[in-house]
Amino acid sequence: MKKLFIISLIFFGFSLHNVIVHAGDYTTYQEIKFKHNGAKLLSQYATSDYKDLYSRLGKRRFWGWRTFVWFKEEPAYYTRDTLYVIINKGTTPINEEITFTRESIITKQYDVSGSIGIEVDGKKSGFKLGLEGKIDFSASVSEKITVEEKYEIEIDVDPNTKLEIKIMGEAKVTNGVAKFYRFWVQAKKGGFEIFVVTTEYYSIVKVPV
Amino acid sequence: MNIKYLLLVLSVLLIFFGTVFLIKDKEPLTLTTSPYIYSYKYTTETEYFHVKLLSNDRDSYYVLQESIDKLQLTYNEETIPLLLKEIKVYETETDQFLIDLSLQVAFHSNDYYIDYPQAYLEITYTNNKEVSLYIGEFNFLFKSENTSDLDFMNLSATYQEVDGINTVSGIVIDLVNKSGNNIIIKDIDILSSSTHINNDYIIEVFDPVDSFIDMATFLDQDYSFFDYEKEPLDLFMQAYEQKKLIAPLIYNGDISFIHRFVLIITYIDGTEEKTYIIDDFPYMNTSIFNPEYIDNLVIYEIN
Repeated sequence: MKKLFIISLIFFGFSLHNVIVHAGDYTTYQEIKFKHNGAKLLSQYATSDYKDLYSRLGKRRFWGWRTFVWFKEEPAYYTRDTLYVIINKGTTPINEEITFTRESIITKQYDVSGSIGIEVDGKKSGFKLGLEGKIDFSASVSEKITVEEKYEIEIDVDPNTKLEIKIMGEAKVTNGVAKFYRFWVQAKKGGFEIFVVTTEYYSIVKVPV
Repeated sequence: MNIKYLLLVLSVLLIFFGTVFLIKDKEPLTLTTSPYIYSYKYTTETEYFHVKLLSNDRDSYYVLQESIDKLQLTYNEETIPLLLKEIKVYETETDQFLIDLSLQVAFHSNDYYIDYPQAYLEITYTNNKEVSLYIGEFNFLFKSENTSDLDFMNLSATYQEVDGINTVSGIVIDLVNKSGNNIIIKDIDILSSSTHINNDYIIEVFDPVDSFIDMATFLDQDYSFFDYEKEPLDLFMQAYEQKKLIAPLIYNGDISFIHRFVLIITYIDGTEEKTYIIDDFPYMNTSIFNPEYIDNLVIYEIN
């Protein structure tokens, strides 16, 4: 009994450790808009949202996760930073060979709140303690390793003109809340989010400077 | 004695059936293609095009670069040799591996158009075995000269689902007549034998265009991506005039999606017909092995 109590304390102690959160790049995107009204990002959850969502998690359990998915694979559009910029400050037009490299495959990114953690193993990342496997989530992610492809494009740029290649994209967003129990004791709680980029869209913009 | 004999027979049978049960038949190698419309213009000698395959075995002889003796593209009796830069193999979340071949056309020209409506990647291995994989439509243009009469300021696309697959539905271009002459645009087209710009539905716009607007909604009339109605265009542009145009696409072949392509604009300057070519640009970037492409996949079993 004494041993069990000590082990419980050790586990409880682990749960009090601060979590270093490595949120996905998408949290810095210029704009993310959902296709359907009412959908939210994890970062937009209000305190009242958490209170309501935690109440839907159900009873404590001996060990493991309780999860509640609020938004499941919600389609969203985003705008990212400009990919490429070139300014022709000369007095004659230039014929520029633009080269840029992009990942050509779906990428999955994560965000968390509270004491839920993200772990990074090499190029892969994911939630700690196997949370993703417990989420009712079946985003059609066919490939998780990104493939780089190089593009070479020949474009004319007039004098005093700035050329930019802009990126927009489409993603599926799944988020909700979760609690992790050890011996019926709540060890972790917080929000989780999975942001799956399915497609990127590119455009060329030339503006006088 | 009889019991010992019986135990021996039972042990032998147990080992035999256990071994048979445990040793599974090795699955045959499969290579899967997702036929695609390749529309490229030669830019530099360092530019490669990519053919992507799925394979159920990353270590097979048939996906190793050193096993490949020769690569070529074929269409009916026509053939072009290819150079293989490298093969990269990537894990996926399924039991398949993504095989990415970086390729180049193995010759150079200043004016040549490769137009294969149904292209097969023919791989000859060092063991003399040949494999022929259908990769879709292949268009590759060598053109060293281009006009400077026309230019564009902004170039983007609109997107929507066509036949269940998210694809480019139209082009939005701010076209500029930089020549000192009035010109007539006669045609805007894509370097493809099956996918085109629908000249009949090109309209001039004055406001920013929502990239995800449905084409029928934008045009305020029914629009079919499959009715082939391409007619010559007669778009007058004054000297130094700039026009913002939206140009819907039509898909007239078996493949009803395109991500990256060359644009060709034909115009009349005085009495002379000229062409302005916009290099292949990746308007969208997604995996051609996503679940929405499942009906497009072609699976080859290699024995």
